[in-house]
Amino acid sequence: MTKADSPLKTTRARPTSAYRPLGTLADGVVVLQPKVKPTHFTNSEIRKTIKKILETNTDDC
Amino acid sequence: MPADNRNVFVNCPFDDDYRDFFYAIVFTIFRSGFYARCALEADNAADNRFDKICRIIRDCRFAIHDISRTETSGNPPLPRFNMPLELGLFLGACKFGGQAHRDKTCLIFDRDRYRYQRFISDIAGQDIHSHNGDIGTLIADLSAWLRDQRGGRNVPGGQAIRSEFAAFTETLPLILAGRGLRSEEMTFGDYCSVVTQYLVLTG
Repeated sequence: MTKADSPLKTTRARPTSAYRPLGTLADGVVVLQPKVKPTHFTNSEIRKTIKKILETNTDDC
Repeated sequence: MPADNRNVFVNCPFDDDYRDFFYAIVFTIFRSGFYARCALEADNAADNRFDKICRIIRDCRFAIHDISRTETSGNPPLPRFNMPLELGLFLGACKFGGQAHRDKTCLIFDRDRYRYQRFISDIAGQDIHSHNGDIGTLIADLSAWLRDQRGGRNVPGGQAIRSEFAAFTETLPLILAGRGLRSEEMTFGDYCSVVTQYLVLTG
């Protein structure tokens, strides 16, 4: 059988979970990534902002 | 409906007076490892609101309905009936949606446990929870219910989530100020993003 005669390979789409885990908490609960996107900032921007505030709060203690 | 469906439809008022309750519901849902869905999730004027709600209900195995604000107002005094309507849609989907929707379950809240009998008595027999206008009670009942749905033994109790929510609400104005955003400008997408990123960074 030549290469041209070989049956076409069909690739089946890998089933993907509807949910993307964002992170796992200390108690094992998996926080899911919201499907709806933020309007006024990116996830990365809000993460940086929260980190900064939490660090400031820790420094104040 | 897939067994791993973790979508929770939130059917409640979205006005300023109810905002803290709404925020508590969304926080508790994500904190318990579920996924909050509501009519606010897409702001598309071309999308018929009723169609959008039907689509979300179709996608959700779980729902929380708060009918506590079904009360008369305006002139002439008439009740806002969106919450009971959406509750009816959800119950209808369970009954008539076929195999895929038969395992839908929901939690119903009102201010007082038996008040609903005066305006929607046909749902008598459902287990109606009363939050008495108290956010702590709402969080405790909702988190206990979500824990039961998935056997989530590692999900903390209502008291712990209540404390976490209190800490979060103290930090939220600072987070918004850090982004130059006023609380009334925050969209549902913004709030979900802040909640989930905060949980992961503090958890």
